[in-house]
Amino acid sequence: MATITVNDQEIEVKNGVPLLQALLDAGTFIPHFCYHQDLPVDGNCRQCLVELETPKGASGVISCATPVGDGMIVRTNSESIEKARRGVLEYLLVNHPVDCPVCDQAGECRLQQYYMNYGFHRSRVNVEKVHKHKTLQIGPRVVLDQERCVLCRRCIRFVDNVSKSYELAVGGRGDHSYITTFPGHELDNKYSVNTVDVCPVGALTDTDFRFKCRVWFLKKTDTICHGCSRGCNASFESYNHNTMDELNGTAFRLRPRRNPEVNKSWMCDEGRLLYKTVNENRIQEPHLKNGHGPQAVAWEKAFATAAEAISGAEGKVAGLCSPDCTNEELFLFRRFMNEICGSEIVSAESLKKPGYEDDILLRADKHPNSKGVEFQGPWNSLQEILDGIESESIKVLVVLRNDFLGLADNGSELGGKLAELDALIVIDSNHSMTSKAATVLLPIGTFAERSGSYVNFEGRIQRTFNAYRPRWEAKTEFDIFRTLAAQLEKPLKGVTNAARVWQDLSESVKEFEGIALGDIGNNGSPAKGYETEAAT
Amino acid sequence: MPLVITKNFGHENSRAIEVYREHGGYETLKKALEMGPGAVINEVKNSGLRGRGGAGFPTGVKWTFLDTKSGNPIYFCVNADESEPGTFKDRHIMNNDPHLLLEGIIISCFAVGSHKAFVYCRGEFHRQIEFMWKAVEEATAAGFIGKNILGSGFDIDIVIHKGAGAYICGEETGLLSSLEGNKGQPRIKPPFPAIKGLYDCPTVVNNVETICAVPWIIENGADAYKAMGTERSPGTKVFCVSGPVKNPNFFEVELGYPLIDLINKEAGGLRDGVELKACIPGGSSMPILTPEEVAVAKMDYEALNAMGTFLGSGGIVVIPKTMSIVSLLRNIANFYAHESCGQCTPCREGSGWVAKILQNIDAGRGRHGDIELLHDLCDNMRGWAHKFHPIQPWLKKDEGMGGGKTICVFSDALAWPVQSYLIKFRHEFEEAIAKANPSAAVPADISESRSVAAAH
Repeated sequence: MATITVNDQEIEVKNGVPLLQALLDAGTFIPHFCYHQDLPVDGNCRQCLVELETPKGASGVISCATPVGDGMIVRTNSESIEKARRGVLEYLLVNHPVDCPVCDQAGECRLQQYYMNYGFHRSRVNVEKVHKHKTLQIGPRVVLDQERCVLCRRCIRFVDNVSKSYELAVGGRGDHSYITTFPGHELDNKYSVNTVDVCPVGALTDTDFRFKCRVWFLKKTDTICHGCSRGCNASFESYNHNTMDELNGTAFRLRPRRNPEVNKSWMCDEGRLLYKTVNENRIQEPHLKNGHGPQAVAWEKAFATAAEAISGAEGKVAGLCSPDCTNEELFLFRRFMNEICGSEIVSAESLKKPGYEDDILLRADKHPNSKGVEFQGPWNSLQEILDGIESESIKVLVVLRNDFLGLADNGSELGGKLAELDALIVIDSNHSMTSKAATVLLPIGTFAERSGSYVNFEGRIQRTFNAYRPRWEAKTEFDIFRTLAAQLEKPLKGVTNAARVWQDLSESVKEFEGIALGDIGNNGSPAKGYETEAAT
Repeated sequence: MPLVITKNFGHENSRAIEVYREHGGYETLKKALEMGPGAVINEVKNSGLRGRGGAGFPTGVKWTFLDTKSGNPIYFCVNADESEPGTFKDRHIMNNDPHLLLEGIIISCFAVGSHKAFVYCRGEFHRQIEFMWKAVEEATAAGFIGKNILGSGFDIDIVIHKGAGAYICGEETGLLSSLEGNKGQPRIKPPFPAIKGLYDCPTVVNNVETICAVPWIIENGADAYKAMGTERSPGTKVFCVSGPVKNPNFFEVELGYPLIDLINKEAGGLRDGVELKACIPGGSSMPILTPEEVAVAKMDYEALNAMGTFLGSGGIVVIPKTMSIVSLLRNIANFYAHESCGQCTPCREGSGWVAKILQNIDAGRGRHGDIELLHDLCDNMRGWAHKFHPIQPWLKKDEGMGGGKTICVFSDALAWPVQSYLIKFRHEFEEAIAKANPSAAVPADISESRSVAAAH
């Protein structure tokens, strides 16, 4: 630790870190464009200038490129600093089109924000602006507007240092400089949209999000990306404003949320699109299958039918959940199957094949909670269930979030075999082959509509939060299992919410022992026995 | 006064190694190899030789900053990217005496323990690059370059590198970036090149003229060198005089030489009928001098600093009465707007803005308040620079702060001329603005600064 004096106040900060970071961490806000915590320092925007007391007198330094040293005397609000700050802002606006009303970045644009904070000057520009290219589709997911660009080069540093795909460069010189892709290349890598996130202005925009929604109508909810076992921390953004009630709840994007232990500030392009599962292909209400195919019914009827099937099977019931479930769902599902249904066979096996993997973020295991399944094991295999159906020792199968028919190589053949069941009760959020085969189909919330926890591949427990109650007629996992249990006249205790379920869970799973859900902070916390591994 | 740099320039076929050796060439190298590296560094340090590229940093001291403990190879770079308008000394050195430069490089490399030297030549120096390569071949054949030169056990390899013609590559870290194959853009200092330079290894970057003084110093000793010039600016310097003088040329004189004598004696005085309006003392980026100041100016680092200007690279440009200061400044600003590397915001945007305002004023479209605006823009572009230049009466406006506005001093190099011209020749700008006609044709705008590409 080092003691530095900032505006006549002594503060304790970490030694050696960039002064800018230390000031930001200490709550002294310094405007900046090019500095990014997870990218190398470039020092080109000059916006983070502060005054440093040196033996030769006060001198301006950029705080991003100045490491903290003990005894530093820093001034962030002197007259000359504020003048320099305004000067840099004014320069950035000389050739900027100031097209805020039609710019997608409006509302989260640093240029806009700093102008309100530090600039607020009348324009002195009476010369013609430099014109550059606009609306350049530089990659499948990214659109570039060179005129809005402040040339902070964060995007270049991202492709050079993080994705290591090296597509971007600065062309030209002086005020004709522009960001561009190398000739014959496009910004096409698995992490390309991160360049949009790091862009402090509206120069880089996401093709998927462009012109869909003004950002100030979006509500952010902390969630975990469930695209793979990395478990990137993400922010789920959905519409939340009373001007357009019919849009309320609609998901618009998924963006990375910084977690230095897991994903830093990044997220893959694929994972970002998972928000769509919240809007599209949803099972909106409970369905029962009769001679005419699936029919939407009221929850009471669906619950009654399901309960009837379960009690009629007299213990010949099996359960199938998946590593897409939260820890709480897994625990709850197992309890429901064992205690309420009297089932012996519960599986959490998924047929999803390993996918693309790299050493940046993406993991081959495309489930968010495989480790959680492992911790709560042992489980039965899917084959045991299929064998049981064949030998008629299983008459009812309850499936939670597992599209095993869609993922199996011989899905339609398997589906034929399921016809021998008395009932196939499927609890899922989105339509799938399995949901189509269901005799009782119960809608549940998606990842954005549930609270709970996952364990990522490194053994880190991370919490996810619900943005709202499940949309349409769907219900939470707690509601569904509690009500079903009540219907079967065997009340299920302690299933009010995720925290309550976790209490029981942490007592029965040794990796979770002694960990309270509330103690798991923003960065998650390593499970028992994974402390060192998770730290690396 | 003995000539240090230009001593061989008059000889016939002075580029050839035979001619160079006839006049004692490469003999100093043998002496240096016998003296040993420490003694050579000491000699250079004691001579008080200062960098001739513009900043005037003591060369021997710079060499001692080298990180010799890192275990990385030490690189030696010679800055021959001479691009400052008004300066043409390095070009003539390479034209007339490439072997002097080579001998200087070999001695300096021996002193600092470097086995690989790069000469970064300005891209437009086609002929000079040929001469340099030929000289390297000759010197290699003669055994002065290569493995175990002259049986001393010292290896040296010299590469002549051709730049792509960017002014900013004359800034030492920009030069290194360019040499590495990257875009020529200055890097944040610290770390300084002496610690982390070329390929992240300790590196010396010296100007051509600086290195050319080394053989003479080793041959004649530090005291002989110190006997010339002034106390704090010892030695000689090659000045380039251009403009309407009778004999525009380069002249080697002792530092501290009166500017008026350079113009009137060495350069033969102003052409008939020409009156002096002003004089740029050290290349286009230096604050301008009025005739009254020219009459008393002494050409050494300290004396010029005291007048609020700098020796720079020694490019003296004589400005006649008939020339419009507004047009002159517009031309200079266009050059800098064109050459800004585009890295730091104030320089990238400021240089273009300043150039456009000056274009407007010059084209008769100036506005009231433009002078104040230009001043303010320049204040935001330059550091107070107190570290290097203690006395700049007209720059003392915002004393609260030193540098830090940009990575290198390029934007200062535009702000200095702009502010000094505005202060010393304010009436010309005021007249141009007073006579302005809003309906005048819009100037060719920044396309004009594109056209100066050929000028550099």
